[in-house]
Parts: sequence; structure tokens; C-alpha cells
Amino acid sequence: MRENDVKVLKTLRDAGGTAPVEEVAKKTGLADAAVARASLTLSQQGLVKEQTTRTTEIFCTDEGYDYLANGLPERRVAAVVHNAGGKLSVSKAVQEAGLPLDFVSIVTGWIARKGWGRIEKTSSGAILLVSKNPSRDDDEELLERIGQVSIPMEELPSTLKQAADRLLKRNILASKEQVQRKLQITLQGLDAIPTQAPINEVSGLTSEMILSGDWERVRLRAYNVSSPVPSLNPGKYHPYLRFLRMVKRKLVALGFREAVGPLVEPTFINDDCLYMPQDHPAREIHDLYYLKHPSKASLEPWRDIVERVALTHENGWKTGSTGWGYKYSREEASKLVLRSHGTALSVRSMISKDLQIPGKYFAIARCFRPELLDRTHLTEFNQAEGIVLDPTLSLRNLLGVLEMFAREVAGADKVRFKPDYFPFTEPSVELQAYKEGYGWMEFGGSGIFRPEVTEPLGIKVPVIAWGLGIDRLYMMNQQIQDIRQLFTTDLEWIRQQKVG
Amino acid sequence: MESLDEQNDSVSIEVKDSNHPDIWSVEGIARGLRTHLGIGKPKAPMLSGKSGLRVTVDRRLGPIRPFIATSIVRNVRPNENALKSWISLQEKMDLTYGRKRKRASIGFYQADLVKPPLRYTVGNPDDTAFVPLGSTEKMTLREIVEKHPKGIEYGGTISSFKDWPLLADGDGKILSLPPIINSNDLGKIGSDTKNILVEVTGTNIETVGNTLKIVVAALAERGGKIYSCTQTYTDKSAKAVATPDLKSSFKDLSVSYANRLLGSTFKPAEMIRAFMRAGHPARQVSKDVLRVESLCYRIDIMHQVDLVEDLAIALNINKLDPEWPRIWTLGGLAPETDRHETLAEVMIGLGYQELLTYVLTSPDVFVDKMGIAGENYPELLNPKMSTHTAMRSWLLPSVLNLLKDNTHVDYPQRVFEIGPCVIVKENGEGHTETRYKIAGVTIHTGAGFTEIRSCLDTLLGSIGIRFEVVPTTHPSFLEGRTGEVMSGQKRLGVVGELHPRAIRAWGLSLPVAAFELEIPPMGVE
Repeated sequence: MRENDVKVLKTLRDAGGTAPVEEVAKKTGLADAAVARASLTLSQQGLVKEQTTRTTEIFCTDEGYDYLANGLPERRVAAVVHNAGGKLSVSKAVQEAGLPLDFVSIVTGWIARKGWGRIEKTSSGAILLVSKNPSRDDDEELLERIGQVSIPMEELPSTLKQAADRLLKRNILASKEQVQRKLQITLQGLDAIPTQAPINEVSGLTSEMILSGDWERVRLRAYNVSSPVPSLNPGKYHPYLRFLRMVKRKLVALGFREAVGPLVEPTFINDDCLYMPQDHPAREIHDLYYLKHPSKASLEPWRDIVERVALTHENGWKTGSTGWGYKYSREEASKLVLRSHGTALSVRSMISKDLQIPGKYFAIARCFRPELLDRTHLTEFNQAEGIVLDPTLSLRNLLGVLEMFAREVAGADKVRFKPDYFPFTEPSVELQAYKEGYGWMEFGGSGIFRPEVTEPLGIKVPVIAWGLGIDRLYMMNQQIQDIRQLFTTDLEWIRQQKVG
Repeated sequence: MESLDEQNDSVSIEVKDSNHPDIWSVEGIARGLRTHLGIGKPKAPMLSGKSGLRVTVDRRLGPIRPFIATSIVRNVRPNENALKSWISLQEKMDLTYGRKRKRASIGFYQADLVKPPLRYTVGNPDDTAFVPLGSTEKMTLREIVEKHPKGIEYGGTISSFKDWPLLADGDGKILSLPPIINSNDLGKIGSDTKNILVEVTGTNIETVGNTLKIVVAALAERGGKIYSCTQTYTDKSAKAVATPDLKSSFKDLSVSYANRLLGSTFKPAEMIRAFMRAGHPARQVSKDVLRVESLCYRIDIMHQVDLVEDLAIALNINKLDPEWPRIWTLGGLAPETDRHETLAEVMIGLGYQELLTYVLTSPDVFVDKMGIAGENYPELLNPKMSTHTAMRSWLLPSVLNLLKDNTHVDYPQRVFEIGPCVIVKENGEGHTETRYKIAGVTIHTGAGFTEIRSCLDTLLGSIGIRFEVVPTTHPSFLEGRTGEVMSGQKRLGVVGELHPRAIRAWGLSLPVAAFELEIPPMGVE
């Protein structure tokens, strides 16, 4: 450490920890520039902190000095009138107070505003009435307090601040900005001061001391362990992603395998494979983001499936269904959209060559819908979604899956089921979960995929499909009212979220 | 049931089934409740006879709106509530099942004012005029489409054609301009209307027929008698179609199949009772088979599973015992997720805060502010907000976009995100590819190349990737302090100090060092 740095640190220590830069310069005997250099080095090492305070200094103008000695004009005039029996012509009073006549309006104005007296218009001119000698007011008190020096406006009580504003406007006072820089020594700064202390008191252990056994012959200087230390910002998971990881862990523990898939899909995958007719209202531009560039996908990779899905839509194909009874368009099927629901990922799982039966699959899917952002809507959100496949599955198993989710994932106390409707499942069931303190809430939708969905994909067993409202569950757990908080840009909030 | 308003003697009911238009009316719900509560047995609506009304259908409607179905319901005498219910049924069906009147739309007329036979024909938009409903002045068809509120709303269904659909009676009086608006003279029904002509036009003959069935069945619930009409088509088919077709459909349902799907052991008799409550008359035709009748308006029954669901609802799904599936499967994360988790662990260990930002953003963020050009990215056809018009092709801009909102927050700020980006491919399946990337950013007074390069080395070193950093130039980064991260011949990404132009573009004022990488697939070393 350089000598100047040590001088600065010692001066700060002796001054009780904090001192203005000028004082440091005076006490160390160093030039201002040398103090500035030292404080820069020391603050980079975290040994001192610089504090800058800005103050507004107020002081008397020449006019102010005059009034300080002789009294404010309104005071002088009021005194003259009072001494003359409480009633006097205005112009005479001003003259007798030793003021020029152009002070008439100023003086009468202030006397009236301060409530010291009143003006009466008579035929012989204006008369000033002052019934009793006014007591000293804030303006006068401030003027006296300032006297020959300047004082910082910030330190004044509020009544005197108002007085200062008045006197500044009257040019009785003037002000200038003062910047004061102070240096404050930190805890590390205190430790860093080389001690001239006797050999047996040291500030820190060294490797040499430990190895040589010298630690037995020294005394370690005690720290103030109660004083505050600098705070740290650790690296952490994003709070919402931490929650999604927890959901994934629980689903994996229940035997589900995670599926991933693309964010952009042809409507063939997003809708057609789910037996949603091509003119279904949920496929309009209000409910689905379409791509302008690129706008179409080749359906070649799924040629056989497209054939079967088309026939199923048109006449039911071999599924035993009547179908929707319209002419299926491959053109429409090839249009690219942003994945609008997690169920599209379940389709991906079902057409995957790695599909296993029995099987349980889940995905946390980023989905997109054309919504304006508000407290309850995001245009980009997450859905937890999945399927269970096995020849033995029944509606009771669907209820069993839902009940397990409600208890394991949402921590619900009670569950109940309501009939629901989705174009791609039959039967369809809504899950309602009850949690103490929250009441009943909708927690997910589910069903058994229609044969019109599974059979064209080559699946001959019942498939349970489920979706959970995890965004809402997270908001409930964290007491978040505004869904936009999930994608917040507030780094401070993200840093402050508890991890447990 | 949503709510009960005792003061106004009304209940609100949530109808979730968007495929079940027969219950989109007070009449339909009352019908359903009656059988569900066992007050009455399901009863098919009956034809009381032929009305004698014929409708000739002009072949020129072929490309415009070729189909029509009509019926006369006599002796209705609707009260205020009935009229309200029918109008709301009409609006809801036009909107949803009729696809905003494109596929089908409904019209009501005073049957007694109409002179048979009807002609469903076409008219010239500028030469044909009548007084539309709710107006007092005669308007041409084009004026109606351009000025009348219904014309403005639904004109798009016909406006691209040279001639427009027109329904007229035997005297040549115009009934309506389907699917826009009725005539004010004939097409207005009120509480004094005894006999109602119901007409449905559209582009899908099945939808048109179904719509008519549902409407007349609702009218019949109030005591109306249904009479059929005949449509004569003048196109090649030259067919004559009598409407409405009130025949039920029948499906054979296997008792064991239904029990398997429900996970139950109901006996045939229990199922028959439940089907009655669900509005499906049913009878046993063999040991394992029930013949289930779906009344004409149950257009949602496409498959046996639809019957099984009705059965489950009638039996109350809450009475079924939930059972966790007894199958053994191995759970696990996707290999990609495992990879992301490893990277996140190292970044967090290096003191970096994880972030989450939108994939949907605007080129202003990931092209303009970054000073790059010629970027090929997926662009939305129907953006909803100017800030969300495209999918990001790289991640770093999203992270900087977040940092710009945090200039008041304690520095140093060290952050990272692992997130999807979407790349436009020149060819191949889907024409786009979703790729996960990782971006790390450090911003503070001393941020620089060495710090970020150390971080990158640690990250890639931790997952055993061999790589080198070779000098490169990039519009967003400072020349001489930017490197391309190469793993063999494959470019993984970029690392360097951000260009002051980019720093200022984001409203930041401290040095920024950053990297962005494609997440290397596992097994690559």
C-alpha cells in the first residue's frame, strides 16, 4: 500500500470513520489531487467509500445585509405607523421610515400579506392602519440566523424553508449549489491499515504464522462482528423456472418421460391431428398466430398420416365416426402457426418412432396466442401437458391421474370433477382442486383422446390426455396478482425472490 | 350452474359444449333438465304434416350459397321470453355453428304473409332493393352491405360475387338478403305471430339441415307444430329435398366396451336408465349390445365414445372411483433438458443469475439495435402488438433488452438465459427449426473480454467440449476483442466486448462483455 493511501486511511479512522475531502487534505497535509488519487485507489479496492452530497447554500445579498442591520422595509414602516398612534398616511410613513417612495407598493403589499395592518382609501390618499406592534416573523428569524455566513437550505425546518423561498424571490437572499465530497472508511479499510502495534497484535493470519507456530505468540485484533458487511448477489435460478423445475421433478417421480418439440408447427400437427375441423373458430387469426415468413411446411414427412387424418375429418375413415363431413384441405394443413397449446406436443409424442406402450409422457410447453398483455393474459405462456397410453386405461384412471396431480403438484386437500368439452377428447373432464385458504379452483382439463385422434396416428389403445394450469398455480403459490410478473424484466425482484 | 338470481327468478348456466347447439336455448336446457331429473322421458320431435310450401333453388347460387332448408312451425304464439330465447339461439348458432353465417344462417318470417312458392335465387346488387329489418327506407342490396350494420358485419360472405343471394315469394316480394338481413315487412316476428317460417341458407348442406332441425325442435318445445317444406334444386342434381328431417339416428353400443372405457361394471339395465336421463332412448338388442337412439337434434354424436360420455355424465363422474393407472413406466427428463440443467448449474456457480424472456419479440430488438443486417427470421402474419411481431433468431438481444430496464439496480450484473430461438431453414420439414441457445452477459465498470472468456472456458470445459476462439468481426461487438467459438468445423457462437454503439442503443452506459452459443449436442467433444 502506498504511503499516501495509508495516510488517508489513518486520517479517516482518527476522524471517526468519515470526513470531508478538504478536511482529509488538511489533516494529511496532502495536495487535493493526491487525496483524489488515493481515494480512487482505495475505493476501487473497497477500502473507502465516496459519498457526494449536494447542498444549496443561502446567504445575504447586499440588500439583505442592509435589512439585517436596519430591519425589513415592512417592519420599519409598520413601526413608524405604530409609533404614530396606529394610523398614518402611507407616503408619509414610507418617508419617515427612511425609504424611497417607490417602496410604497412593496411595503403595503407585504404588510397586508403578513396581516400586520390594512390600507384604507380616503379622499386625501391612502392611510395605513397598524393596531399593534407585530411580533417577529419567519423571514426576520431566518435573516438573523443567516447573518454574515451562509447556511445549507436542506438543514432548515420547513417553515424557514418557505421563508427562504420568499426572501430568495425578493433578492434579499441569494443561493449557490455546493457539492461536498466525503470519504468513509469501510471495515476492510480499517483492517488494511498497517499497524505499528506490538509484535503480538496482528490483523490477520498468514500462512507463515500458521506453519511456524507464530500464531501462538500473537494476538489477533478483534473485529466488530456485529457491524454490517457488503451484500452479495449470488447466481440463482429464475424464480418461475425454479417452479417449473419442481413441477418437472414431480412428474418424473410419477413415471412421466419428458417430451420436447418445435415452437412452430404446421396446423396439421397443431390442430388437424387433434380432429379440430379446419374451419373451427379456434383456428381463426384471433386465436392462432400464423407465420407470414415462412408460411408453409411440407407435409411430406407425414404423408401416410396426412392421408388418414384427411379421411377421418371427411368421413370418419375406419374409426367408426361420422367425421366432420367437409372437404379437407392439405393447403390449409401446411400453414405454419406458433404452437397454441401443449397438446400439439402430445401429438409429437404419439407420432414419434420412440413411443412406448405402456407409456407416460409430459411436456412443459411454451405456447403462443394472439392476446394483448394484461393482468390475466400473456401472449406467450407455459402449459404442462401430457399423455398416458395403455390398453387397460379407463375414465377412472383419468380421474386417478388428475387426483394425483391435484395432491402432488398443487398440494390440494380435496378434488372434484366436472364434465368438460374439447374437440379432441371424449369423455372430457375438468379438474377442480380445493386448497385451504384458496377455495375451489380450476386446475386442469383432460380427457381420453377420441378414436378420431389416435387411430389415424396408428395408436390402438386408449390415451389419457391432460393439461395443468401451471402459470396460475405458480401465481397462487407466490401470491402474484399480475401474470406479466412471470416474464418480469425487474432484475431486483428476480434477485430478491426466496429460493425455498 | 353458474349463479342463481332469486330476485329476477333466473339462473345462469355455463354451457361448455361448443358442439352441442341443441342446448344453446332455454328450450334445449329445459328439455335436458326434464329427462335428467326424470320428470319426463326423451321424446322425439314429430312432423305434423306437409306445409305445401315449395322452394325453387336457382342453380346460379352454386358457387355463392347453394343450400336452403325451410319449415313452417304453426301455432306458436311466442311470449316475450320465447322471442328472446329464439333470437339468442339464432345469434349463437349463426356465430358458432354457422361460422359467423358463412356456413349457415337462420331467418324467421311471418308464414301467413308469404305467398308460395318461394324462390331462392340471385339478385343484382345495384338493381334490387327492399326495406331491411329495422329500417324504413328502401335500400339496394349494395347499400345494405355498405351501410347497414349487419351488412357491414357479414357482407364479406357474399360481397366478392357478381350476384347476391335473394329469397323472394310467389308475388316477387323479397323476404331477405341471405345471410345478411331480412325484409322489414315479412321478416319480423312478434308476439302476435302465430305461424313462423324458418329458413336456413348456407354453404354446407349438412350444417344447413342440422341448423333447421335444432331451431324447429326448440320452437316445438313451446307447443309449435312442425310442418315440412320441399326444396327443388334446378342444378344438375334436380333433386327435391323435404325438410326438416326429424329422423333419429341409432348406434349399437357394446356394454362391455362402455364399461371398459369407464372402468365400471354397470349392468345393461342401469345403462338404459342412465341413457334415458341423458335424453337417449335405449333398448337391449342382445346380451352385450344396446341400441341407442340419438334424437334428430343431437348432431354432436359422431361416435360411440360420445354416447359413453353422455352415459358418464348421467351417472355422475364424481361417483366413479379414481384409480391411478397400474402401469409401470420409467420417468425421466429429455436429454436436452439434462444438458440445459448442466449448463445452468455451471453458470449459476459462476455467479450468473438465470433469466426468462419472451421468444416473441420485434426485429427492432434483435436486428436494428444490434446493428446487424440480412437476418432471416420467422415473421408473424397477424401480430397483435408492435413489440411482438417476430420470433427471435438469437438470444443475446433479449438479455440486453432486460438489462436496459435495470440501470438503477446494483452492478455488477451477471446474467444468463438458456432459451429457444427459431431459425428459418431454406428447406426441410417445417421450414423452421427451434434451437436452444445460451447467452451470458456481464456488465459493470470493469467488464471485459478476459472475464467473459474465462466464463466461457469454464462453461465449455465443464461439459468437456474442446473448442478454440478465433478472431472475427461482428457488427454488435468491438473489433479486435471478438472471437468466434469453433468446435472443430462447427461454429458454436461468438464471444467478446459489446460495441459502444450497441451499448448506447440499449441505453446502457457501462462496458458489456457477452457470449452466445448454440447448445452443443451431447456426445460432441
